[in-house]
Amino acid sequence: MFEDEIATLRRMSKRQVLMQILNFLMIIASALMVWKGLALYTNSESPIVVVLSGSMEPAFYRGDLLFLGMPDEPLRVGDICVFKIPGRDVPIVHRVIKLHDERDTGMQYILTKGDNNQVDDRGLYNPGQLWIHRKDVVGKVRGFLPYVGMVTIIMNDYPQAKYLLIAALGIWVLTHRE
Amino acid sequence: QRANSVFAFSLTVIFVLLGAVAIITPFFSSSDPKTEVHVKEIAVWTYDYGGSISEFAFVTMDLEADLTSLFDWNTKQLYVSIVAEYGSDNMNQIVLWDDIIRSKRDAQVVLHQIKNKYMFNDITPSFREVNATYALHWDAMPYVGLLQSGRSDSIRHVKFPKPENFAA
Repeated sequence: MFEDEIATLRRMSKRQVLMQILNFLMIIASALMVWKGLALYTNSESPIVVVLSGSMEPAFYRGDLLFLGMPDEPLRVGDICVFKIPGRDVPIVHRVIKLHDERDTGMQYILTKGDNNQVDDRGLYNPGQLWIHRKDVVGKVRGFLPYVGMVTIIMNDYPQAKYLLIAALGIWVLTHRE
Repeated sequence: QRANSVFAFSLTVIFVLLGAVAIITPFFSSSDPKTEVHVKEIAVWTYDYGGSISEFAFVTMDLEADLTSLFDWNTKQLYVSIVAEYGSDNMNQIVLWDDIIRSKRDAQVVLHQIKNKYMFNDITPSFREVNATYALHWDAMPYVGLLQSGRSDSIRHVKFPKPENFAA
Protein backbone atom coordinates (compact mmCIF):
# COMPACT_ATOMS: atom_id res chain seq x y z
CA MET A 1 0.00 0.00 0.00
CA PHE A 2 2.77 2.40 0.80
CA GLU A 3 5.29 1.15 -1.81
CA ASP A 4 5.02 4.32 -3.88
CA GLU A 5 5.72 6.48 -0.89
CA ILE A 6 8.61 4.39 0.36
CA ALA A 7 10.13 4.37 -3.13
CA THR A 8 9.80 8.16 -3.26
CA LEU A 9 11.40 8.39 0.15
CA ARG A 10 14.44 6.41 -0.99
CA ARG A 11 14.90 8.51 -4.09
CA MET A 12 15.02 11.78 -2.16
CA SER A 13 18.33 13.06 -0.99
CA LYS A 14 18.98 13.67 2.65
CA ARG A 15 18.64 17.42 2.11
CA GLN A 16 15.18 17.04 0.61
CA VAL A 17 14.03 14.91 3.49
CA LEU A 18 15.21 17.57 5.91
CA MET A 19 13.36 20.22 3.90
CA GLN A 20 10.18 18.23 4.18
CA ILE A 21 10.59 17.87 7.91
CA LEU A 22 11.15 21.63 8.14
CA ASN A 23 7.97 22.26 6.15
CA PHE A 24 6.09 19.99 8.50
CA LEU A 25 7.39 21.87 11.55
CA MET A 26 6.48 25.20 9.94
CA ILE A 27 2.91 24.03 9.49
CA ILE A 28 2.71 22.96 13.11
CA ALA A 29 4.25 26.23 14.30
CA SER A 30 1.80 28.38 12.34
CA ALA A 31 -1.14 26.32 13.61
CA LEU A 32 0.10 26.92 17.14
CA MET A 33 0.40 30.66 16.46
CA VAL A 34 -3.19 30.82 15.21
CA TRP A 35 -4.40 28.97 18.30
CA LYS A 36 -2.54 31.21 20.72
CA GLY A 37 -3.65 34.31 18.83
CA LEU A 38 -7.24 33.16 19.16
CA ALA A 39 -6.71 32.57 22.88
CA LEU A 40 -5.46 36.15 23.25
CA TYR A 41 -8.33 37.61 21.26
CA THR A 42 -11.02 35.84 23.24
CA ASN A 43 -9.23 36.38 26.55
CA SER A 44 -9.63 32.73 27.42
CA GLU A 45 -6.92 30.14 27.78
CA SER A 46 -8.79 27.57 25.75
CA PRO A 47 -11.04 29.29 23.24
CA ILE A 48 -12.44 26.21 21.54
CA VAL A 49 -13.70 23.19 23.46
CA VAL A 50 -15.50 19.97 22.63
CA VAL A 51 -18.57 18.93 24.58
CA LEU A 52 -17.79 15.69 26.39
CA SER A 53 -20.99 14.79 28.23
CA GLY A 54 -24.72 14.86 27.67
CA SER A 55 -25.51 17.03 30.66
CA MET A 56 -26.51 20.03 28.56
CA GLU A 57 -28.88 18.25 26.20
CA PRO A 58 -30.87 19.10 24.17
CA ALA A 59 -28.74 22.20 23.68
CA PHE A 60 -25.36 20.53 23.33
CA TYR A 61 -24.59 16.96 22.48
CA ARG A 62 -21.35 15.04 22.80
CA GLY A 63 -19.04 16.05 20.01
CA ASP A 64 -20.24 19.62 19.50
CA LEU A 65 -17.73 22.40 19.27
CA LEU A 66 -18.05 25.49 21.45
CA PHE A 67 -16.45 28.89 20.96
CA LEU A 68 -15.59 30.67 24.18
CA GLY A 69 -14.74 34.15 25.22
CA MET A 70 -14.00 35.63 28.60
CA PRO A 71 -15.78 38.94 28.92
CA ASP A 72 -14.48 41.75 31.09
CA GLU A 73 -17.77 42.40 32.75
CA PRO A 74 -18.98 40.07 35.49
CA LEU A 75 -20.78 36.85 34.70
CA ARG A 76 -24.56 36.80 34.81
CA VAL A 77 -27.19 34.21 35.55
CA GLY A 78 -28.06 32.19 32.46
CA ASP A 79 -24.56 32.39 30.98
CA ILE A 80 -23.22 29.05 29.92
CA CYS A 81 -19.68 28.72 31.19
CA VAL A 82 -16.88 26.27 30.87
CA PHE A 83 -15.17 25.86 34.20
CA LYS A 84 -12.73 23.58 35.93
CA ILE A 85 -13.07 22.42 39.50
CA PRO A 86 -9.83 23.21 41.31
CA GLY A 87 -7.72 20.10 41.47
CA ARG A 88 -9.32 18.48 38.45
CA ASP A 89 -8.50 18.81 34.78
CA VAL A 90 -11.79 18.00 33.16
CA PRO A 91 -13.63 21.10 31.94
CA ILE A 92 -17.37 21.19 32.56
CA VAL A 93 -19.90 23.06 30.46
CA HIS A 94 -22.91 24.13 32.52
CA ARG A 95 -25.15 27.12 33.07
CA VAL A 96 -25.00 29.63 35.90
CA ILE A 97 -28.16 29.43 37.95
CA LYS A 98 -27.22 31.34 41.07
CA LEU A 99 -24.95 34.28 41.55
CA HIS A 100 -23.75 36.44 44.42
CA ASP A 101 -21.64 39.49 43.67
CA GLU A 102 -19.67 40.97 46.54
CA ARG A 103 -19.39 44.62 45.76
CA ASP A 104 -16.48 45.31 48.10
CA THR A 105 -14.20 42.55 47.00
CA GLY A 106 -15.52 42.03 43.49
CA MET A 107 -15.66 38.29 44.16
CA GLN A 108 -18.36 36.34 42.41
CA TYR A 109 -19.90 33.26 43.98
CA ILE A 110 -21.33 31.09 41.24
CA LEU A 111 -23.52 28.01 41.33
CA THR A 112 -23.94 26.01 38.14
CA LYS A 113 -26.17 23.26 36.81
CA GLY A 114 -26.40 21.26 33.64
CA ASP A 115 -29.69 21.71 31.79
CA ASN A 116 -30.15 17.97 31.61
CA ASN A 117 -29.31 17.31 35.25
CA GLN A 118 -31.91 17.28 37.97
CA VAL A 119 -29.70 18.78 40.64
CA ASP A 120 -27.14 21.54 40.73
CA ASP A 121 -23.42 20.93 40.55
CA ARG A 122 -22.69 20.91 44.27
CA GLY A 123 -22.33 17.15 43.95
CA LEU A 124 -19.55 17.73 41.45
CA TYR A 125 -17.65 20.37 43.34
CA ASN A 126 -14.96 19.43 45.84
CA PRO A 127 -16.20 18.23 49.23
CA GLY A 128 -17.20 21.25 51.29
CA GLN A 129 -17.13 23.53 48.27
CA LEU A 130 -20.46 25.26 47.69
CA TRP A 131 -19.58 27.78 44.99
CA ILE A 132 -17.14 28.32 42.21
CA HIS A 133 -15.49 31.62 41.41
CA ARG A 134 -14.58 33.58 38.34
CA LYS A 135 -11.04 32.26 38.43
CA ASP A 136 -12.37 28.74 37.96
CA VAL A 137 -14.16 29.75 34.77
CA VAL A 138 -12.26 29.21 31.55
CA GLY A 139 -14.72 31.08 29.38
CA LYS A 140 -18.32 31.82 28.53
CA VAL A 141 -19.93 30.10 25.56
CA ARG A 142 -20.48 32.51 22.71
CA GLY A 143 -20.88 30.37 19.61
CA PHE A 144 -21.57 26.85 18.61
CA LEU A 145 -20.83 24.38 15.83
CA PRO A 146 -22.48 20.95 15.89
CA TYR A 147 -20.73 17.58 15.48
CA VAL A 148 -17.32 18.94 14.47
CA GLY A 149 -15.71 17.95 17.74
CA MET A 150 -16.49 14.26 17.21
CA VAL A 151 -12.99 13.80 15.84
CA THR A 152 -11.49 14.60 19.24
CA ILE A 153 -13.81 12.20 21.02
CA ILE A 154 -13.02 9.36 18.64
CA MET A 155 -9.32 10.02 19.14
CA ASN A 156 -9.76 9.91 22.89
CA ASP A 157 -11.77 6.75 22.96
CA TYR A 158 -9.66 4.88 20.45
CA PRO A 159 -6.00 5.87 20.87
CA GLN A 160 -4.94 3.46 18.10
CA ALA A 161 -6.81 5.70 15.67
CA LYS A 162 -4.76 8.64 16.86
CA TYR A 163 -1.41 6.91 16.25
CA LEU A 164 -2.59 5.61 12.90
CA LEU A 165 -3.63 9.08 11.82
CA ILE A 166 -0.34 10.66 12.86
CA ALA A 167 1.69 7.95 11.15
CA ALA A 168 -0.29 8.26 7.92
CA LEU A 169 -0.04 12.04 8.05
CA GLY A 170 3.72 11.89 8.62
CA ILE A 171 4.29 9.62 5.66
CA TRP A 172 2.04 11.73 3.43
CA VAL A 173 3.82 14.96 4.31
CA LEU A 174 7.28 13.51 3.85
CA THR A 175 6.58 12.14 0.39
CA HIS A 176 4.55 14.92 -1.19
CA ARG A 177 6.49 17.93 -2.22
CA GLU A 178 4.51 21.15 -2.64
CA GLN B 1 -6.33 11.62 -5.81
CA ARG B 2 -9.60 12.87 -7.24
CA ALA B 3 -11.45 11.66 -4.18
CA ASN B 4 -9.06 13.71 -2.09
CA SER B 5 -9.79 16.95 -3.94
CA VAL B 6 -13.54 16.30 -4.05
CA PHE B 7 -13.51 15.69 -0.31
CA ALA B 8 -11.50 18.83 0.41
CA PHE B 9 -13.72 20.95 -1.81
CA SER B 10 -16.95 19.71 -0.26
CA LEU B 11 -15.53 20.31 3.19
CA THR B 12 -14.71 23.89 2.26
CA VAL B 13 -18.18 24.43 0.82
CA ILE B 14 -19.83 23.10 3.96
CA PHE B 15 -17.79 25.34 6.20
CA VAL B 16 -18.46 28.44 4.11
CA LEU B 17 -22.17 27.64 4.18
CA LEU B 18 -22.23 27.16 7.95
CA GLY B 19 -20.25 30.36 8.42
CA ALA B 20 -22.71 32.27 6.25
CA VAL B 21 -25.66 30.89 8.22
CA ALA B 22 -23.99 31.82 11.47
CA ILE B 23 -23.21 35.35 10.39
CA ILE B 24 -26.52 36.15 8.69
CA THR B 25 -28.76 35.05 11.53
CA PRO B 26 -28.33 38.05 13.86
CA PHE B 27 -29.16 40.46 11.04
CA PHE B 28 -32.41 38.86 10.08
CA SER B 29 -33.97 38.25 13.43
CA SER B 30 -36.45 40.81 14.60
CA SER B 31 -37.46 39.90 18.06
CA ASP B 32 -40.39 41.36 19.86
CA PRO B 33 -41.21 39.13 22.75
CA LYS B 34 -43.96 40.04 25.14
CA THR B 35 -43.70 38.66 28.61
CA GLU B 36 -45.35 39.16 31.94
CA VAL B 37 -44.36 37.66 35.20
CA HIS B 38 -46.65 38.07 38.17
CA VAL B 39 -45.59 37.11 41.62
CA LYS B 40 -48.66 35.79 43.40
CA GLU B 41 -47.25 35.09 46.79
CA ILE B 42 -44.01 34.75 48.68
CA ALA B 43 -43.53 32.97 51.92
CA VAL B 44 -40.26 32.96 53.80
CA TRP B 45 -39.60 30.18 56.24
CA THR B 46 -36.63 29.45 58.39
CA TYR B 47 -35.23 25.99 58.37
CA ASP B 48 -32.46 24.36 60.27
CA TYR B 49 -30.35 23.39 57.29
CA GLY B 50 -27.05 21.68 57.76
CA GLY B 51 -26.68 22.88 61.30
CA SER B 52 -27.50 26.55 60.85
CA ILE B 53 -30.78 28.40 60.69
CA SER B 54 -31.38 29.88 57.24
CA GLU B 55 -34.23 31.58 55.48
CA PHE B 56 -35.81 29.96 52.47
CA ALA B 57 -38.29 31.67 50.21
CA PHE B 58 -41.17 29.96 48.47
CA VAL B 59 -42.55 31.90 45.55
CA THR B 60 -45.64 31.25 43.48
CA MET B 61 -45.84 32.98 40.14
CA ASP B 62 -47.93 33.37 37.01
CA LEU B 63 -46.24 33.59 33.66
CA GLU B 64 -47.61 34.83 30.37
CA ALA B 65 -45.20 35.04 27.50
CA ASP B 66 -45.31 35.20 23.75
CA LEU B 67 -41.85 34.28 22.57
CA THR B 68 -42.67 33.18 19.03
CA SER B 69 -40.81 36.14 17.55
CA LEU B 70 -37.57 34.82 18.98
CA PHE B 71 -37.76 31.68 16.85
CA ASP B 72 -36.16 31.91 13.44
CA TRP B 73 -34.96 29.22 11.04
CA ASN B 74 -31.64 28.93 12.82
CA THR B 75 -33.07 28.56 16.32
CA LYS B 76 -32.66 25.15 17.84
CA GLN B 77 -34.18 25.87 21.20
CA LEU B 78 -34.97 28.61 23.67
CA TYR B 79 -33.93 28.38 27.28
CA VAL B 80 -36.19 30.53 29.43
CA SER B 81 -35.88 31.21 33.10
CA ILE B 82 -37.52 33.38 35.71
CA VAL B 83 -34.76 35.15 37.58
CA ALA B 84 -35.04 36.95 40.88
CA GLU B 85 -32.56 39.71 41.43
CA TYR B 86 -32.00 41.52 44.71
CA GLY B 87 -29.44 43.20 46.84
CA SER B 88 -28.28 46.73 47.27
CA ASP B 89 -24.65 46.36 48.26
CA ASN B 90 -24.17 42.97 46.78
CA MET B 91 -25.96 41.75 43.73
CA ASN B 92 -27.67 38.39 43.77
CA GLN B 93 -29.32 36.56 40.93
CA ILE B 94 -31.17 33.30 41.28
CA VAL B 95 -32.92 31.21 38.68
CA LEU B 96 -36.27 30.27 40.20
CA TRP B 97 -37.74 28.34 37.34
CA ASP B 98 -36.55 27.35 33.91
CA ASP B 99 -37.74 25.51 30.87
CA ILE B 100 -36.55 24.62 27.43
CA ILE B 101 -38.78 25.48 24.48
CA ARG B 102 -38.01 23.48 21.42
CA SER B 103 -40.43 24.71 18.82
CA LYS B 104 -42.28 27.82 17.78
CA ARG B 105 -45.60 26.20 18.63
CA ASP B 106 -44.60 25.83 22.27
CA ALA B 107 -43.35 29.39 22.48
CA GLN B 108 -46.59 30.83 23.76
CA VAL B 109 -46.47 30.16 27.42
CA VAL B 110 -49.30 30.66 29.86
CA LEU B 111 -48.64 29.04 33.18
CA HIS B 112 -50.31 29.64 36.49
CA GLN B 113 -49.19 28.96 39.99
CA ILE B 114 -45.60 28.12 39.12
CA LYS B 115 -43.61 27.27 42.18
CA ASN B 116 -39.90 27.86 42.28
CA LYS B 117 -38.03 24.83 41.01
CA TYR B 118 -34.82 25.54 42.82
CA MET B 119 -34.05 26.40 46.39
CA PHE B 120 -34.39 30.08 46.97
CA ASN B 121 -32.00 31.03 49.70
CA ASP B 122 -29.37 33.65 50.20
CA ILE B 123 -25.66 33.07 50.64
CA THR B 124 -26.10 34.54 54.11
CA PRO B 125 -28.66 33.07 56.49
CA SER B 126 -31.12 35.90 56.09
CA PHE B 127 -32.73 37.87 53.28
CA ARG B 128 -33.13 40.87 55.53
CA GLU B 129 -36.47 41.67 53.88
CA VAL B 130 -34.99 43.38 50.83
CA ASN B 131 -36.84 44.09 47.61
CA ALA B 132 -36.42 41.79 44.67
CA THR B 133 -37.21 42.17 40.99
CA TYR B 134 -38.47 39.26 38.93
CA ALA B 135 -37.85 39.06 35.22
CA LEU B 136 -37.96 36.52 32.44
CA HIS B 137 -34.60 35.76 30.84
CA TRP B 138 -34.08 33.85 27.65
CA ASP B 139 -31.17 32.35 25.77
CA ALA B 140 -31.61 31.47 22.10
CA MET B 141 -29.47 28.59 20.93
CA PRO B 142 -28.86 28.32 17.21
CA TYR B 143 -28.19 25.30 15.07
CA VAL B 144 -25.00 27.04 14.01
CA GLY B 145 -23.58 30.31 15.24
CA LEU B 146 -23.69 32.71 18.14
CA LEU B 147 -25.86 32.40 21.22
CA GLN B 148 -28.15 35.34 21.83
CA SER B 149 -29.72 36.21 25.11
CA GLY B 150 -32.09 38.80 26.42
CA ARG B 151 -34.39 39.63 29.25
CA SER B 152 -37.72 41.24 29.81
CA ASP B 153 -38.19 44.39 31.83
CA SER B 154 -38.19 43.60 35.48
CA ILE B 155 -41.52 43.87 37.09
CA ARG B 156 -42.28 45.75 40.19
CA HIS B 157 -40.20 45.22 43.23
CA VAL B 158 -41.57 42.67 45.60
CA LYS B 159 -40.50 42.68 49.17
CA PHE B 160 -39.54 39.60 51.03
CA PRO B 161 -41.88 39.16 53.94
CA LYS B 162 -40.74 38.48 57.45
CA PRO B 163 -39.81 34.90 58.01
CA GLU B 164 -42.07 32.53 59.84
CA ASN B 165 -40.58 29.87 61.97
CA PHE B 166 -40.56 26.26 61.03
CA ALA B 167 -38.64 23.81 63.11
CA ALA B 168 -37.38 21.15 60.75
